[in-house]
Amino acid sequence: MRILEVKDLRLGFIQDGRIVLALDDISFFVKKAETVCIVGESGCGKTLTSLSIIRLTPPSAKILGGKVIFEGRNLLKIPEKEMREIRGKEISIIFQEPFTSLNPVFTIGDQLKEAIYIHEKISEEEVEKRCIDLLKLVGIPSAELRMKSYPHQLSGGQRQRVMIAMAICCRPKLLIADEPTTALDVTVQAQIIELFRRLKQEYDLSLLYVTHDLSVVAHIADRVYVMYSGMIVEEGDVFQIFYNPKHPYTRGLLESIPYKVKRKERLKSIPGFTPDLLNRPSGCPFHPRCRSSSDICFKEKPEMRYVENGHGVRCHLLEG
Amino acid sequence: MSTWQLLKKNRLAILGLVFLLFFFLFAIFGLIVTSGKNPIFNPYTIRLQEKLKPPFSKANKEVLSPDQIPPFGIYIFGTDDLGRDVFSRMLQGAWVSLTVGFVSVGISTAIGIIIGGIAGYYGKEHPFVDILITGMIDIMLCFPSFFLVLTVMAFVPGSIYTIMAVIGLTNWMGTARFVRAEFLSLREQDFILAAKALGLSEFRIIFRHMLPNAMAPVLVSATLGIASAILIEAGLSFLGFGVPPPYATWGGILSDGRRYLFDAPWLTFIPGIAILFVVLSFNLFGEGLRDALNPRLRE
Repeated sequence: MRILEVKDLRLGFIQDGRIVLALDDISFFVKKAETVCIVGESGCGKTLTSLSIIRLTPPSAKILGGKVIFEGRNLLKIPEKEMREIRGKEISIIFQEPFTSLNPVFTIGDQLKEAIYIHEKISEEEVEKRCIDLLKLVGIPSAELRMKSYPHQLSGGQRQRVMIAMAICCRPKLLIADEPTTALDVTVQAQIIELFRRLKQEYDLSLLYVTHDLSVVAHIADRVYVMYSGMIVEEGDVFQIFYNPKHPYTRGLLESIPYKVKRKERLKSIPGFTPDLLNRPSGCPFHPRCRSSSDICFKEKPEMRYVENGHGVRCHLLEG
Repeated sequence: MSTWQLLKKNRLAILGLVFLLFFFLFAIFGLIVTSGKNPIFNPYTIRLQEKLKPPFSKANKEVLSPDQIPPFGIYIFGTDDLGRDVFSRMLQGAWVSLTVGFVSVGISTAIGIIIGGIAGYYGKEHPFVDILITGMIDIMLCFPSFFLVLTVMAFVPGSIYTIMAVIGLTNWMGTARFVRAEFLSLREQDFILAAKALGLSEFRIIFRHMLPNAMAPVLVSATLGIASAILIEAGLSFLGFGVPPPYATWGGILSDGRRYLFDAPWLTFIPGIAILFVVLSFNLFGEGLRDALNPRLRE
């Protein structure tokens, strides 16, 4: 069952009176209890995609078309009040920056309790108990004591754990994690990813995980969407993407993973730079950096073509 | 370091705080002993036989009826031109200054927070609202605030409540500017986006998550605002637009006393020095608070 389905989502910024397309026909879906990863470089529109699901894109961004269907309802069409009830209760999101995502003037306990209070009418003791259980679940030592701590008294990893606790406090059906481990060091990163796996099993969550880190993707994903400059260029399950990448960008990405590099061998990288979302190349956005681009690539936008079951590629040069 | 520890290092601020506490006690004590039917310190008793007595002079018990004799039989701050006890009048006036200061600043801070908050929070999505509000603030700031108050007071009946309201309604611009600036930067913070993502309403985000983060500069400007409100009230009373007689206010005592500046200088010096010290203490404490709340001073 598809719990979330995004169809042909188009989003643009209004700049000097004209519309600059930043998300171009984004389509993807998340099935129940599945982990879906969106991979892409910085500035390719990953965060914008996750924010547009819960309608929290910056005010200068305009959604130009498409649908976001969550449990049969188009989230882009429902009134703001209903949307507020979905946020935090049905769909939760965890942001990249644990250092600034907690309000500095309130204790952890206050913020956690508030997250529960606004969605559920339960007694104070129950809320208190649930908060402590949540903090224990996400692996915060001496949870009772930590309830009274202020954010600045916690480490980055602990703050991200608190953010996760806040996100799952009302047992959401879908959890969006927007680069939740990027700001943390590698050991903490591994622990947090382990925590996600555990929570997914315990809470029967669907997880939409947005990252630029391919090793994380290989670790947790069921299915993967590769994003480049506001467009999904390749989709498929984790094996299809990692063992049989079709799009030149995906191949380039996989080649540039520093894996068993020999001495004196240079790290591989994709030549050129990621285009600015406000200044996207014509046709296939990857053509200026593509090794094998031809005329058609800068004239026409490639369509998604499916090579095998569930494995789609947006590339003109796809043989067959 | 905590705010209190930083504040404690500032000797002048602590001096101001100590004096303010003394002033509070004096005003509250004044309210208790000067109100009621037969107050212990009666600011209204007229003793024409005993007018313009210097401070600490003994009351002449032979010419006064028993209910005219001041407590302890001495005029601590002397008497005025009607033989009223200046100490009793100072006690009564302290409460006026205190309430005018706090109530008018309460009004102006509340207005400033609401107006500044609206401009700061909604200003980016609705530039028209922001232009309207900042324009209004600029227009209000064009008028020197004392003359604005004076003009309004010329049209409304003078009473302690209208003074509070008028001072409050004409002094909210500074707070509004602070709050707008704070809100403009706060609304871009990650934790506000995180709060929205949890499904919080705008009302809750503004008042529970943004306002506490913007309170430090508001608190400082309120402290300094109390001093200026007390000064405005004293100035109004001095010019005769303030709280109507026979109710005593410090500005009023000062104003009445200026005709006897050479014969009875205590009538002007005592309220003048009192106003000076209270305003100075509020300013010293407010500035100390501003430094102590400055996050850059903490390690």
